[in-house]
Amino acid sequence: MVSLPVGKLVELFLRLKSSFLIYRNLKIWLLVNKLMFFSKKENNSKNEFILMAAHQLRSPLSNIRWALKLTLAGDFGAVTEEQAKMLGRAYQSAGSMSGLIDDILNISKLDEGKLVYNFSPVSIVDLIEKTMQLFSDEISRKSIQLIFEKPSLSISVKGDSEKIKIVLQNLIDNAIRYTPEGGKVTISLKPDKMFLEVMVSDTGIGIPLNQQKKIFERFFRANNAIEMCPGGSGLGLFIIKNIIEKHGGRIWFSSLDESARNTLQSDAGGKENKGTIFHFTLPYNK
Amino acid sequence: MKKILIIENEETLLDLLYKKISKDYTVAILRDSSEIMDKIKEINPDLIILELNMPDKDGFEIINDINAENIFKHIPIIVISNTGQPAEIDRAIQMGAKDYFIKTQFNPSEVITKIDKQIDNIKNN
Repeated sequence: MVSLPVGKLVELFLRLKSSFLIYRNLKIWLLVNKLMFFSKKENNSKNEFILMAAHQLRSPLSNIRWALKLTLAGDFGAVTEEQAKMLGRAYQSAGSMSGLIDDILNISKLDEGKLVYNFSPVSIVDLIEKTMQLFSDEISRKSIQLIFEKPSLSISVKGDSEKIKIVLQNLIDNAIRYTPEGGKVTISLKPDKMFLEVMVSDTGIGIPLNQQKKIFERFFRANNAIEMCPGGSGLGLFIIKNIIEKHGGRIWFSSLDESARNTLQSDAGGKENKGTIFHFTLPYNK
Repeated sequence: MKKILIIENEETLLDLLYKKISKDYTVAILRDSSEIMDKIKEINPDLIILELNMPDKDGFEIINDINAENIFKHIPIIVISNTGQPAEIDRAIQMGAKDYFIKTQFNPSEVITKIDKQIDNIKNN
């Protein structure tokens, strides 16, 4: 087998290096932002600069992910097993970086009241299927089954499709991230009179009982989540709770009781578990 | 083999698109928007992939120029959006673009799927 030339790997590394330096600065910004939030201080010019940097980073980061993906797929020549392992790790890191940047941009818009909503009829089934496609690499890497219990009829809700996509993406991403290899993530719908309930359930590590009340708080991350994935921002659930509430809906979670296979439902609590179901509701389009 | 014209100024993205698309199609490239109509006439593409955020002349102006020419307005256009803002994408679609990629979200297989779909539409019409 002809392996990838060292020159190509060096070129790839150099492209990655500059972006990782910006990534490190963004993580520092996140820490500063956290401190500022708790001390109620403002620093608008620094905020704007970092936001601009985060925005500008999206496009080169996307190129990095593409380059890594094509290289991994062998488009630039065969790669050895060891090279593929390292490139795969770099691809995952670039994905985490991308998630962090999205969180930073969303939380900033939210704080400044600039998260603009365009409400229109949304086909929730189509949107779920489209969002699921974003995870094809990750479920294959972790051998996780991602299942959508698709209804036979199409269902139209009233909402902002881009924002609902952020909610779905966040919940599916969390479910896959915190579910060990070989597990299962299921998306299902439960129509009610006034609202449609969407559920994302996993067979993951669960949420520790004594930390469940804090799960939707800004910057909060449960201990077992930090242990499994140290790099998260702790902003995702806070952002999506805000989005769902702007739609007039509600978001909560329940814990899978493994022995009885029942769910113990609560707005901010439940049984410590192995597996979690996140629920949210959206109004129908009438 | 069908001809795809890519109008994109970002070198790395251009390399990656070229690498992926040239397996199945003949690919021509434009890196700037000067004398664009002459070049489209010369290349005579079956489909155009157009970056909306081009310097000098933006993608919307380029769509307008293409639509203004009877001989070109049937060519399907897929736009590349940097921001992914629904308003930007809606505007491009209303102006006649057939589909779109969001730069930070698209993946290589999605690009091919969307191109194939448009090329199939041409063959069926």
